[in-house]
Amino acid sequence: MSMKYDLYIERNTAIHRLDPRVKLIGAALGMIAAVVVSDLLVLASIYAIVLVVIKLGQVTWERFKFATRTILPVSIMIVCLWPLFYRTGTPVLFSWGPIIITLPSLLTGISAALRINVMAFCAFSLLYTTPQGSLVRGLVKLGLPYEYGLSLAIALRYIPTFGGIILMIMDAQKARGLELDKGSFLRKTLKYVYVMAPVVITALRMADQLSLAIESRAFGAPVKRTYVTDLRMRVVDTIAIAVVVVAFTGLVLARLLYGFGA
Amino acid sequence: MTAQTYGRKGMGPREVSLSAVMIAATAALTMLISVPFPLTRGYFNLGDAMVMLSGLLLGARLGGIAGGVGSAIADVLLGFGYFAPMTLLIKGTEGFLAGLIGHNRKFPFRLAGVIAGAIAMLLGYFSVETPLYGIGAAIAEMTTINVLQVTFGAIISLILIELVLRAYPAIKSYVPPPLSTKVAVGVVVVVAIILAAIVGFYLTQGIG
Amino acid sequence: MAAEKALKQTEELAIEIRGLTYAYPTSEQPVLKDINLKVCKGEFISIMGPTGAGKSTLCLTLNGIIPQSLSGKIEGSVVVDGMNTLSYGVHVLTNKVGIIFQEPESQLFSMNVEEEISFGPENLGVSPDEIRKRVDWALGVVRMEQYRQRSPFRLSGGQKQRVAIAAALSMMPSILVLDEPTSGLDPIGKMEVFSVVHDLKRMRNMTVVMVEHESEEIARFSDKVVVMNEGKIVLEGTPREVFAQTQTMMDVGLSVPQVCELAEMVNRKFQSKKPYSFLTLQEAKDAIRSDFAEARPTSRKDRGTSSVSEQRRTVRDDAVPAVEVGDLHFEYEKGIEVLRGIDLRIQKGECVAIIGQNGSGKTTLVKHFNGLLRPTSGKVTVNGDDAADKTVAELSRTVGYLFQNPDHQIFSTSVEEEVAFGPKNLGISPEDTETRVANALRLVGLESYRKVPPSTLGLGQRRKVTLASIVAMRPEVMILDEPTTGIDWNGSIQLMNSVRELNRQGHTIITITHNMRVVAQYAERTVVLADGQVILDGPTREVFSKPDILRTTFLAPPQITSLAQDLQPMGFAPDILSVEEFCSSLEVR
Repeated sequence: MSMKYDLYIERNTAIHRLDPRVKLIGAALGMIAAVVVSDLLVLASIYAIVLVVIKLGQVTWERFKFATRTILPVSIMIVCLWPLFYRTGTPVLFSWGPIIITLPSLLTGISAALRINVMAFCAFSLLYTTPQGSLVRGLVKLGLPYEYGLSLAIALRYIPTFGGIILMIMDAQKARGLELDKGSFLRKTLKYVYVMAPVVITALRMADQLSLAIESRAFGAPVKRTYVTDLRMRVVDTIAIAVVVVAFTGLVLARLLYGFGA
Repeated sequence: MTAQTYGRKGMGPREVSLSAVMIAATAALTMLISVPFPLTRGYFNLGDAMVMLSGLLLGARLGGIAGGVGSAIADVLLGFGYFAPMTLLIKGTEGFLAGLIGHNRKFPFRLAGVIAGAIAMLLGYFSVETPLYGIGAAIAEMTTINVLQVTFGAIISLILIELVLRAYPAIKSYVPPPLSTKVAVGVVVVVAIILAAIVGFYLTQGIG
Repeated sequence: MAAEKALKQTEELAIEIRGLTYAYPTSEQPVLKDINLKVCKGEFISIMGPTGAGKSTLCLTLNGIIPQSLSGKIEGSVVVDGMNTLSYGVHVLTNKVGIIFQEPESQLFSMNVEEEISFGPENLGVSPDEIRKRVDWALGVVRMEQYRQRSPFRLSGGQKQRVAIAAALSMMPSILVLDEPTSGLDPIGKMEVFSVVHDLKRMRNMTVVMVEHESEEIARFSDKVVVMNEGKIVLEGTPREVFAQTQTMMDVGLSVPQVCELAEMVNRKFQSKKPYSFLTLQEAKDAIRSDFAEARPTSRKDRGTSSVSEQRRTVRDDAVPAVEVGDLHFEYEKGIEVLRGIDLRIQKGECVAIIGQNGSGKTTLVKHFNGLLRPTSGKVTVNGDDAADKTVAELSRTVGYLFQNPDHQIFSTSVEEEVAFGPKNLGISPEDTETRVANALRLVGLESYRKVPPSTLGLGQRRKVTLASIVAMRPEVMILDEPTTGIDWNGSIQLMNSVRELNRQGHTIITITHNMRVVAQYAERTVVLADGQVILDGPTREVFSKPDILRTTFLAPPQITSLAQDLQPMGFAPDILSVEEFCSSLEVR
């Protein structure tokens, strides 16, 4: 099981160069827009826009496949289950006992699946083109208090470390005779207590050391903190944000006032 | 001399460190110990155990942060990034409630805490998935993976809290910065409102 | 005049500690008892002491974290750079006193080196331009300029600690405190860190306080050595003065450079009018060359007492080997071969040491012995059976593995529960388990700690707990991965004595270690790995008498062996393994 701890792909495209705040806001608004709208065609257009962004970000075909593969089972299940539970509307395409499949509900099912895909790709477009450090800095600049940003940044740094530690602990306990692969589902799951306990204790121990380390470097000093790498919005960034916000507002207004894309 | 390590906004060096490692441990455990399950969110995992344990061990605030952020990051790294905001909210509440009711208390309260967290998780995902996936899929997931996850999560976290407190007594000396009742109630109410709003929006706007 | 002089002296003091007594909030017992210490500006002082002596606690009092953050009961005063640590905020004090901790992993928490080094000054509100200059300077001091953007995962242990030093330096402290900086590092890593420390010593006005176990390095750098035990200072003086007190050092449980032991032994044996005192290899060489005659050939008895050969049973070559690997290759990922064709046979009852730099493949190799890793190609047999057919848990009946980090195994609420875990997994009956637990605890000397939670014990004792838990499983073969790293000399000896007892009882022992003195004292056979291949394999004496081959992988035999080798023209045997052996071959002129 090879663990991908960072979705970021290093490139130098226009999308990559955008300020992370632009991308964060863009992805968030894109996801909200997908939720607000229900019409198949409108959703499809948003989907197309997101795909263009991803293409501009030079996301590899492989990564694209990974993204679609994870969403595919969900999408299929949605399309299959939707008509089974929402049975109103005409024309009826197929009827057998309690199962009534109507065209409108089938289309809605497809819309719902498409919506998930749009949301997924909004998220991917953000994550494939922005390194973790920039994401955190962007969030802090958007208002997340520094302490929480630090906690998040440190957590991201330690996730692969804990990945390694968990594997080592599993090895260490296996070497004491713990069979993690044998036994009923119930027994197997409960055996993981013997892995989780050392993990948590190790984590608590690390936290003690970490807290001494950050305090020894003046964390929490009552002065205004400076930042060596600072985020600055360029003209391009401001224009991009403006475009996204305007488009989003327009869409939402159209939806609420005129039922556009319902 | 009292230890005043709370720093600003209740996040002093100990809080930053504890939340960071628990976020990382939760994310890593959620990702590594998971069994692929072809339905909705794709995998049965022991993350809920970590979420509830964080609450029981470290209190409401850190439990909510570790549970919510850790699970959200796991979602992202496993390819379900679009769910991350919802997971952040729902699992965060799960950890928060477990900690609010169960932190630093005896077994009956801990049990109540994890049950509250479990209900939050089930209701939360149900209400978010209904508009997104359709009620069929939402019911399917709730009654299969999610129920299993919170049940095992609750059992394991109750075992672990006892184990960890006795095996690593040093953690008992950590006292989280006090959470005012106003804030606690406020958080629960806000989350409930958000979820109700989502469900309401879809019910009134019509589905299908 | 006297008042003026006294004033001047105080001004030149970097650190002044008076009557310091401190107890942690969780316990009644003070960890520091009436400490009095003066350190002048620019001085380099080393602090030694067994585990639990209070060294780390003392370090934390220097930047105010004790008592301001960790609270507890404190008496007396600590003044650094003229500031009383009770009167100034921690952030002010950390600006003057930088601390580097033992664990590289938990003090490097940023995404890359540059961010890490900038963290401190950023917190202090230093301007970004100034910070950039400081980062450049600090990287230069620790010689890591090309690693600016490197993430911590891609740094070796030695590199990580150097970054930690740079991260402390960027705050421009006048006092640098290093708490066991090389404890977990391999020989190359230790070398890297000590050479940076050497440069720090030459920096003007930088006062350095270093807590360390490596007595040879301490002898090289320190202006003054302070020895602590049970919260008190028991010895203080120049390295020469302190190391001459070998008896006190041994009572406290610390090691001194072997040449110092030699000097003491020589003085006792030869009743020399002017007692010798050797601090470095060079001094010992010069003195012996000028004052002693050709070496006496050593008798079997002399050689025997220093190694385990007298306890060795005869090992039959035709017997089924405990572990055997044939043409073993292993790659973690495509193209990166870690083991490149290893052939090795270890017989039952042998006591083997495996040495080599980090990355040479030592741990990778031994993990094949109990199935944690499976070969990419080649064969592994344990007790004659192919290891490929068994799971790790099955193999654990025959091969026990002591992991370097005991915290990766410890989870129980009591020592006896922890030790019983292994046997329970193997399905041993409760009565038998109880017997095994009792025997194991007796072997490692932890009977009185039965009911204590293991995680509250010190590192050395936690190692003993995991050793006991493996012993209770009664595996024929025991693999020990760096059993003595990070613990004091006394703890190491106790642990290795338990291991020797196990060998006496018939267990096959395979030890991975960096500690050459341990190898010399406890292993009859040594295997040297470099770049995934075996470059030397034979009796320890033989292996250590080939220093030129060892040097190709940056290893060196123990100090006393190097001394004997340098003095070979005088007739000293090149495979001397202990101070006693060397002394018995000395002949007065």
